[in-house]
Amino acid sequence: MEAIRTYDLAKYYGNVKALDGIDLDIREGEIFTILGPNGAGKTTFLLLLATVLKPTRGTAVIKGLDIRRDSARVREIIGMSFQEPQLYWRSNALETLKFHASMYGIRGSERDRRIRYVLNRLQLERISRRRLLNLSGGQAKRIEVAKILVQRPPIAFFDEPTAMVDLDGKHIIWEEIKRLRDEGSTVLVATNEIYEAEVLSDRVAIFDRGKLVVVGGVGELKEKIPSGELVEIRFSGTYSNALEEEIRSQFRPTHIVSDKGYIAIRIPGAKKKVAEVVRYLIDRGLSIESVSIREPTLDDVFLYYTKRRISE
Amino acid sequence: MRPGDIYMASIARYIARSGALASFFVKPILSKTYIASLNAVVLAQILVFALALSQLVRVEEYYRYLVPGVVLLSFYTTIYSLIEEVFFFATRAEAYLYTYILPLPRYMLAIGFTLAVSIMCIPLYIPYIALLALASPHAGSPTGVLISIASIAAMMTIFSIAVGGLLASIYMSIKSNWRLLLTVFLLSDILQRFSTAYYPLSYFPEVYRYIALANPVTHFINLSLIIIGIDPTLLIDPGFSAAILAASVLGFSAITILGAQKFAEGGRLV
Repeated sequence: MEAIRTYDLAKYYGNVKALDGIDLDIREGEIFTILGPNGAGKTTFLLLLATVLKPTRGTAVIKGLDIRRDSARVREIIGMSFQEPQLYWRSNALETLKFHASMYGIRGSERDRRIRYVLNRLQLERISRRRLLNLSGGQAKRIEVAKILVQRPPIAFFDEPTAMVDLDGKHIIWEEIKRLRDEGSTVLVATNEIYEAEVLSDRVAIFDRGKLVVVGGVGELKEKIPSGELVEIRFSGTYSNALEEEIRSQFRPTHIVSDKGYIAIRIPGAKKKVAEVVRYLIDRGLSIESVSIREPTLDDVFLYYTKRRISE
Repeated sequence: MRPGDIYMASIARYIARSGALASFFVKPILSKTYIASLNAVVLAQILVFALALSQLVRVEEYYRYLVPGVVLLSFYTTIYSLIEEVFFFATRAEAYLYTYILPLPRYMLAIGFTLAVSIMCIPLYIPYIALLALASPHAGSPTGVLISIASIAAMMTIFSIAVGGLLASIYMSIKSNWRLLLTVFLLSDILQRFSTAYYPLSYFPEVYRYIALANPVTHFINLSLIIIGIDPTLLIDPGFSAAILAASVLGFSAITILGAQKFAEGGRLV
């Protein structure tokens, strides 16, 4: 069942098309990730759904409520963790979370229980009474995310939820976002971090320059691209241009890169062919030191569809 | 949703912070140094204009013309402070995006902005009102002075709430600082020129008298002068002034609510 459906959703700033005609459906109870480089339109998309921005064209329906006509009611069922923490900097974490909970009618022991749990999970207990303006960027970001984890809205938006957060903190936030999903919330995450999208998502939509490039499950998207897995081989011995040409004609790789003592070959069905490649190189006098096979990433998917890397 | 709860929670949170109340009143005054220069320009204008008029009329008449100018200065200061505070709340305030996703209709936000900015402006215009009251015929009576100050402060607060709401709505609709400044500058200048701030109604050419009579600033000044005890024979009927002022306050408030709800719902933030 659809929790969110967008119809030709577009937002222009003058001649700049921040978002250009997005048609998407997001299913009830899934973690749906918008992946794309900076300027792809991810934040604009979330702000439109959150009724902070007004669409130039099109609309979206969230749990049966139109963002144009029923925006006040939409705001009652959503929660948004912003890219830049939106906090009252003279308050502390405890006051912030209490205030946020009260905005959504969460009171008494239930509010205190949720706040205690989230402060504990996000390792914020120790700093919960410190003024926010004295906290680091990562700590402020955790509090921004904590607001939504306390609120537990039916529809939760997270804009780059782990930016500035350390690796340990990232894993905790991902676990908690998954827990939110498991309890029935529909979660929409915008990110430019490939690993985050792979770890977190049930489905992914790739955005580029305000347009929807492709949408699907993580595995499904990787399988769609024909480039195959990446075989990385470290070796000693003489590697020549002639040998590279032989490899090209013999194995027909979609991509090949070499450096001193290193070669990376992308071959469809690499797992089956890797032994054959290694044997071929040994027969031509190379001494193999290590071999690894890496599956394509969402960055490879992005590359396949846009001819650019997300990080570019 | 529970807008009352939200306001109460906001107020409680704000008061709970140590030093919040002090900064609440001191910050707007300290941070608005441009208001001092604005005051200087307006005051110079009033004095030059009044000096010119004093060549034409007797000294006691001159006093009549100067007083409305000071009242206007007070109003002017307030209106610019309102703009500043609307900006402060809507764009430079902490967590303004957060405010926009709270489960509140936009008109409640506009009213919230308006109440906040109107309260913040009180310290800015109280000195002017006190100056007027001390210079008035009631000056010999402390009770009279206090009643004058309280009455004008109440009237100015109500008027500020209406104008502040209008500005908040305009801001929430156009989301452009320079457009809002231009709009307010033109609006306030037109209101000032076509009011009895510098000249009694009888000095206006006939066609402009109707404009001045429809101008809420005229009636705001008129009622202020009546309250502080200026000779009412030169003034407009207080009942008529009160009616026009009430109508303008209601009108501005209605525009605030309708404008914010109809045109700003969903926002157009960049």
